[in-house]
Amino acid sequence: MLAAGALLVISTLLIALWVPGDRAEGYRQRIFYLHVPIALTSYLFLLVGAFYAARHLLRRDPMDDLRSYVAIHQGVILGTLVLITGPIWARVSWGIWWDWSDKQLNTFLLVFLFYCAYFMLRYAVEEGARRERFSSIYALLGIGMVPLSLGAVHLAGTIHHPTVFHRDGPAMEHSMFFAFLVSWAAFILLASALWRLELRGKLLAQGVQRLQRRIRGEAVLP
Amino acid sequence: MILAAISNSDAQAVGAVVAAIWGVTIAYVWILASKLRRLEQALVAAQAALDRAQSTDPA
Repeated sequence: MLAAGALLVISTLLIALWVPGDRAEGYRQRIFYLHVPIALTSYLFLLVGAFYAARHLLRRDPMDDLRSYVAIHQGVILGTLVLITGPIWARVSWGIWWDWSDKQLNTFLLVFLFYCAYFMLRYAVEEGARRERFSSIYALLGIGMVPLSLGAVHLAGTIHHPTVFHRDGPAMEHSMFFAFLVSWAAFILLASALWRLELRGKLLAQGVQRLQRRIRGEAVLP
Repeated sequence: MILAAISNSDAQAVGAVVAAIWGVTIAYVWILASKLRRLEQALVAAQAALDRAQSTDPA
């Protein structure tokens, strides 16, 4: 957690003071180094959630369901940050908060809302194997939208969301790409640390529940 | 020189983004850390209650 915090501080300083300014966008282009890595980390954690969901369906290990749930939670929290930082950037660059004709924005919003509904489904079903199975299937269903959303920036062809990453490499200076990578590493490290911390909390909560059931004399599954 | 080249709205936007990210991160870490502390205390209390219940159980 400390390493993640330190890297986030270094990344913020690089973005604010070191990275060269963009000729077209000026100082506000620095939002790119925060907004894009957060979006990519959000996608990554939704993919991690889907991976553990698939593993849960194969092995029926409740721990995999818990790992999937916490990863999706991280993905949604990061998604919230994407939806906060994106409109701020849009407002200052395009003069609007949101562009409903932009496929990238709309597909991201769709993915975000789909995974928000995951929590509604999860807590609508009683705790147990059935809930774990439903949650895993739902987590897997949504994952097809992630490559669609990622690809939408190339398919969109709008001036609002210019493409920076091409097949022949990133269309930016080396120093800019370095700052981008440091920022992305910081967010992956931070989200991983928070994933472990939240998972520990879930396991502790289960331990407390198990002990309380034993005190009440109820049967406890191992 | 650098500061003069930065427009007010650009700096405000970057500042707002940085503040949002740090604000959400700090709030989330704080919530998680306090939840963990509370759960650790609850676990210790539940374990003690179970030990007491088992020691007073005549069976």
